[in-house]
Amino acid sequence: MDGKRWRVDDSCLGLLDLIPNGGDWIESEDQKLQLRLGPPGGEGSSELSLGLPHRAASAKRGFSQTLGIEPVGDGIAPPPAAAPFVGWPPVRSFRRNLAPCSSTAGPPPQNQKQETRSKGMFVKINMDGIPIGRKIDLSTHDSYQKLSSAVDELFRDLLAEEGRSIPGLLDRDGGYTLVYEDNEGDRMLVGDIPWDMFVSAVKRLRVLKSTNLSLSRRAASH
Amino acid sequence: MARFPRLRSLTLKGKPHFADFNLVPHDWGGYARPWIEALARGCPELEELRLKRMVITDECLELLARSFPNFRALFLVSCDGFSTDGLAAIATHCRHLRELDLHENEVDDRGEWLSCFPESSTSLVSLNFACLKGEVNAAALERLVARCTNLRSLWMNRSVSLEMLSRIVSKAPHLEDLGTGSYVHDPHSESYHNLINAFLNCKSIKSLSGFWDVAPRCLPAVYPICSQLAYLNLSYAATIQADDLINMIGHCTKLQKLWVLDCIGDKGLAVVASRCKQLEELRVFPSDPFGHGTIDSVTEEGLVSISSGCPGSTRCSLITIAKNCPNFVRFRLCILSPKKPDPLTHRPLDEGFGAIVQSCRGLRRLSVSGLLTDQVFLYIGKYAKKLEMLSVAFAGDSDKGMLYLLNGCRSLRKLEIRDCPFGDAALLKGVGRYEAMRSLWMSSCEVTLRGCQALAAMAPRLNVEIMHEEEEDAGGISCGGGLDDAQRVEKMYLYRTLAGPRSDAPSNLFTL
Repeated sequence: MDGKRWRVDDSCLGLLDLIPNGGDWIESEDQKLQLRLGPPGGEGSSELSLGLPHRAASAKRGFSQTLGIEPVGDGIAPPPAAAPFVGWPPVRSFRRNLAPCSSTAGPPPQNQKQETRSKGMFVKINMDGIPIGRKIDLSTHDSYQKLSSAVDELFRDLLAEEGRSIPGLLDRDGGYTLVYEDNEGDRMLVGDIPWDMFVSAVKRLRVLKSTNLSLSRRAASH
Repeated sequence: MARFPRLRSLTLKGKPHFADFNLVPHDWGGYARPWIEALARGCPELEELRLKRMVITDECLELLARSFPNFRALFLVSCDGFSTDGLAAIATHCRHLRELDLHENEVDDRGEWLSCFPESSTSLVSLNFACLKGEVNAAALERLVARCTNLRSLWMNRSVSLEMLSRIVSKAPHLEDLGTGSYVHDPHSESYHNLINAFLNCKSIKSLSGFWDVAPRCLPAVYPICSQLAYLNLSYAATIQADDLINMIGHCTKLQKLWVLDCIGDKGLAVVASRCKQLEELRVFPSDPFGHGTIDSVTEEGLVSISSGCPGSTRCSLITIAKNCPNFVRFRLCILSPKKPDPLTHRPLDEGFGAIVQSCRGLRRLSVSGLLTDQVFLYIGKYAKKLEMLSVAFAGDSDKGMLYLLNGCRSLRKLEIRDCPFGDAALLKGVGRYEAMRSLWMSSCEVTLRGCQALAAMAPRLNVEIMHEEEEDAGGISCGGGLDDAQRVEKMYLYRTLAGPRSDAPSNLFTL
C-alpha cells in the first residue's frame, strides 16, 4: 500500500471509478496520516501517548451493556436500539410538533407512490359531553359525507353506552352539528367550502350539540 | 458597566449550547436582569442589545424599553421568561426601533402586541416573530408593513395565512428576507394568484423561510425567486415530500445555506450537490426525531450516496459530500442511533468524517455522530485547523481522542462532549487550552470529582462548574464529604472568568 490511496475492500469495489478524477483529491502531502478502512490501532504509540493506563469503558457505566452493543472489531455489530437518552437526538423541542401526523414504522417515504400529497392528515376531534378526544385521518376521505360517517363511527362506541347515535351530522337538524377550527383560529360550520379547501384549512374538529349551537346563535343575535 | 458609559451595543450569551436539548437545569442561570439594570443605570446611549440563551422577564423588557432613548435593535435568541406583554412594551416605547429579531424563543402568548407600534412609527427595518405561537393582528401587521418603507426583513409566524402573506408581500416588494407563515391555500384562488404576482415583483429576496403547513401545489409561486436565494430554510415544512423539495431546490443555484428535513432523501441531496455549487452550510433535520422503530433517516437517506455504487453507505456518502462541497464552513450530522456503524461495512465512520475535515479546510463548526473511534479525533485534530466549535456524542474509545482534539485544533473555542469515555487524564492535560477557549462541556463522561477539583486548583481563572442531580449532596461536595471523590461527575461546564464563581447558580450546581 503506497499510503496515498484508499485501500478498498470488496464492498466498495469500484467506488473510486465512480468518483470523478478517482481518488486524487484525497492525496495528502502528509505521508504520516494514512486513511485506511481498517479499524484503528496497531500503528504503535502516537506522539500523544499519555503514559497512563489505557482507560477501558468503566465498569460502573455498563454503557455498552446497556445498549447491547458488541465491541466493533471483527464481527458485525448489531444495530443498536434507539434507546432513549436525555437530550437525544439534539433537536429542539419545538421541532417535535411540526409533522401533521405521528410517524409509524413503515417503508421510507420515497418508496411510496402516493396519490394524495400528505402522509396522512390526522386532526383532533372532540365531542360535547365526551372528555376524551379522538383523532381522524382526513386524507382517507374525499367528501363531507364520508367524513360524517367516519365521525359517527368514531364516537359510536362511546355513545352506545348512552344509547345514542349521531345521524345527520351535516343536516343541522339532528342533535349534533359538526364544526371546525380553521387556520385563522375561527370556528366554522363544516360544509360550506369545497372539500379540498376544507382539508387545507382545517386544524381540528368538534361535534357540538345542536342545542349549544342555537344557544350561541341566540346570543349572537342579541 | 461603569467603565463603559458610552456603550452602544452589547451582546450577551448565557446558557451552554446543550441547554437547547434540555441537558442544562432550567434554573442554571443566565438571567438578564442584573445586566439590564446595570445598563439602565450606567449606559444611557445603548442602542443595541443581543441576548442568547438567557432568561429575560417582561419587567426587564419594559425597563429596557423605557431606559434608552436611542434604542434601535433587540435580538433575542433561544431566550425564555417573557411574554407578548414584554414585546408590547418594546413596541410602545422604543420610538426608533429598527430591528426586533426573535429567534426560537419560548414566549408566552398573552395577546396583542403588534398593534402597540404607534401609527407614527416607521423605522422598522427588520422584524422577526416567527417563534411566536399565538395569533397576530393581521390588520395591524399590514399597516405596519405598509408604513415601514425601509423594511427589508420580515419573518412571520405560523398564524399568518397565505392570504395575509400575499397582501403583505405586495406591499413590500423590496424585502430581502422573508419568512412565511402557513403556506396553505387553494391554488386556484385569487389570493394565490395575487401571491404569484407579488413574488414576481420581489427582486431582492435572498433568504426564504417559514413554510409551516405547506400545500405543495402552492410552491410554484416561489420558483421565480429561488434563483436569487442564498439561504433557504425548509426545516419546518413537514408536509413537503421529496419530489416537491427537489423541484424547488432545483431552481436554487446560488444557495449558500440550506436547512431541510430528511425527507429530502438521497435523490434530493444529490440534486443539492449538483445544483448548489456554492453551498457552505447544510443542515438536515430529522422529520420524526422522537419516533419509534423507524429507520435513521439522517444517515444514508440524509446524505448524498452514489446511487449505482454504494447505496446505503454513510462513509461513502460522507466522502462524496466532502469532495463535492469543499466550501463547507459548518457541517453537522446527527445519526439518530448512538454509535451506529456504517450500515454497509458495519465499520466506524472515522474515515467519512476524516474526509470532511480534510477537504473542507475552512470548516468552523462540526458535529459528529455514529460509531466513531479515537481515529476520527486524530483526523479532526490533524486537519480541522480552523475549527471553532465541535460537538461530540457517544464517540471515542479513550482519552487519546480528546487529547488529539485539544492538541490539534488550535482554533477551538467551544467543545461540547456527552457520553464519551474521556476522563480526568485528558481533562487535566488540556489545562493549558481552556483559558484560550470560550467553554468546555462534558456530561456523562468518565471525568470524576477528583479530576475536576484538581483542574480547578490548577486554573484559578476558570470556573469549573459541576451539576449533580441528587439533592442530598447539597453542601456535601464543597466539604468534600458527601460525594465520593472518585465518583463520576454527571455534568461539568467550565469557562474562563475574571469574576470568580457566580452567585446565581441553582442549588445543585457547584463551582469548584
